[in-house]
Amino acid sequence: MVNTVIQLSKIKQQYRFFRRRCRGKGETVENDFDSNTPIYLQLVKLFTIRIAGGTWIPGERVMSVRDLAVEFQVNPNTVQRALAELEREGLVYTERTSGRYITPDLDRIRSARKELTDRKVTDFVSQMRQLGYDREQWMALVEESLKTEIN
Amino acid sequence: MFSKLVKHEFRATARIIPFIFMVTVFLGLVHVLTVRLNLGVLSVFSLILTVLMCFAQVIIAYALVIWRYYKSMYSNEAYLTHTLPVHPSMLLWSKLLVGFVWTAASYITAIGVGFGVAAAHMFKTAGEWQNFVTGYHQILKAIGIEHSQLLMWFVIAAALLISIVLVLSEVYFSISIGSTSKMHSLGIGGPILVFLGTDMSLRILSALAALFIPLGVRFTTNASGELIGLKFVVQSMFSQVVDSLNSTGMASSSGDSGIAGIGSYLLLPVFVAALLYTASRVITRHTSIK
Amino acid sequence: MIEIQNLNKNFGTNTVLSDLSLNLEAGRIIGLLGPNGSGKSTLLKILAGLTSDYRGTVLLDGHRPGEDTKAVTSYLPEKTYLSGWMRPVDAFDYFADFYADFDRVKAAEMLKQFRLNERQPIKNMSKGMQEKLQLVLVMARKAKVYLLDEPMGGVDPATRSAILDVTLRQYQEDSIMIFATHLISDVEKIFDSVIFLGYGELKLFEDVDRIREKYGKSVDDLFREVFACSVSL
Repeated sequence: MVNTVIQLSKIKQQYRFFRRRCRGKGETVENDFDSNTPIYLQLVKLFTIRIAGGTWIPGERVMSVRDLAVEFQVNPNTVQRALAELEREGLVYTERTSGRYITPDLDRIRSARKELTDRKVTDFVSQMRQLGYDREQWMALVEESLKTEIN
Repeated sequence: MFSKLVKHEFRATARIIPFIFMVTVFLGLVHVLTVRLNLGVLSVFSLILTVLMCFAQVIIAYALVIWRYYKSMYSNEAYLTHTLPVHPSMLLWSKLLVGFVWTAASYITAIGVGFGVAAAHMFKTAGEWQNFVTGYHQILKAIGIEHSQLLMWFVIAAALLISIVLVLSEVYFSISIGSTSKMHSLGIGGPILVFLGTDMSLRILSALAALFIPLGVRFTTNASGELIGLKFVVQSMFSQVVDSLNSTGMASSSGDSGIAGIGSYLLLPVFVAALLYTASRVITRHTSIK
Repeated sequence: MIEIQNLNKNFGTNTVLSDLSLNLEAGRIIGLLGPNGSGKSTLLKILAGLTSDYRGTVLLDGHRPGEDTKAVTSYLPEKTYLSGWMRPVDAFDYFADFYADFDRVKAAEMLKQFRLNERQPIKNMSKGMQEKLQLVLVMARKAKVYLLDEPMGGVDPATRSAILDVTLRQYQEDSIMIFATHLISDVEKIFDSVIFLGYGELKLFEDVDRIREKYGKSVDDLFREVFACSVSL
């Protein structure tokens, strides 16, 4: 009797995703992967952003491969490959008996964040140049748009 | 696994078939009621209906059993049936068993209701029943089997049951052969053609067996044509024909005798075995579900 | 885990599968893609044991399709294969009786998630509901081989998403899932590798990420290219 109850709650947990999607609370499911380039690379980038931004808390356990696969609706082996890549980059590590964890090394996370930011900034600057703005102009544009944005 | 197959086969068929039996029984009871209440015309009408239903329900039972075989083995349900983790021949055997039970039950119901209705008519008094029993014994004496009447009834019942098995075997065989991939283009015509061919072949073989296999029943009649004797003999019908041709002109005025070959009955189990074995092999090796 | 060598299958004069050879490993989700009539369903039927009339070798874990493989194979055909009178509880009884790996508790829970009534006869269900029920039956089994034939045809996008969820949840490292579909762009992200079948012939068998790296295209785009000439207007 107790076993059935435990089993049932485990299964209910697994199927909570149905309910999440059906709740209609506007949860964004990140599903917009570009099918023209390897998905695992896109996952690496996405996971890095989550770690850098603090959504995935340093030192915490990483969600299971299966849960991640279901959340993003991608192949579990692809998730595995992405996590292996993250491990290679030092953002994630594996504890043999207990599983995968996000690195508690804040320096490493900060440097990953810097790398991402640098790239974004470089891209932005070069695009502004392409549009014909000089530095003063685009700085002013940024200020203006920040003023109108409700924080 | 076999018992599970049988269980589920009954479950699938028990929704309709017993219902037909109940209709027949109901009609029989209605008729008996009309007789008891002396309802005249209504009585005749319900008698006709009951008799018709007795015949009809046997035919309906056969039809439903055959339809069930086709549907579960070669129609959409086949996708479930043929992916069960059982040996394919078990599918055949389980369906044969259940089909046999229902068909035999339909015969029993027909006979039962028929007898019940006849009884309601003929045995209104104890005296009539006694007359019937005496008459029955007299007939037995005349044929010379008064003391082996049990054997006779047993043989009749066995013959009936074997004929059911034979019909079902022929039909299942035809459906299975007629549904192989080579016959797909014929659609439903496949099984029908195979059945016609098989039935005809079996009849021819039976006739040949009755004629040539040296086993028969010699019946003797006296000068006025009354049956005075029956005996099992080890002689074939054919040799009897040859004998009588050789002794033309010697037809004695004291009587005549002839032989009815019963070798064909011996072959029945052989036919059944061959049909079922072949069907089983085809199901195991040549299933091709569309 | 699944070995296919020189598989040939005809229906009368029609060649449906022509000299097919494939080796599929466990722990993978494989897409079986091809235009209508390319033999996808036939291949799945042969693997499931519904068609024993073929030439060539087909082995699942070293066994020919038969009693042993059927016990560990879960097949979802395009058609409704349950009798109209059956209700989900009856189907559960049936499956529980014949399949040792059928998890009745899980099936009942999945049924609830799909909002189906346990006691509603199949003949009173819409096509979409029947498909969901059959999906539940297939996924409530802890099988080694899952064969899904167009599980998403004729279902609304929300249900398609739910089906993908269920499929991904079912993934196990010692099992193999073969997913035949034409809705490629929706589904390609869940595949490890894909098989392109064109009129019975093997046109391609490749890891999906390798396709993206090598050709810089999605599977959907590559499919259109490969089969452009086979669609007659």
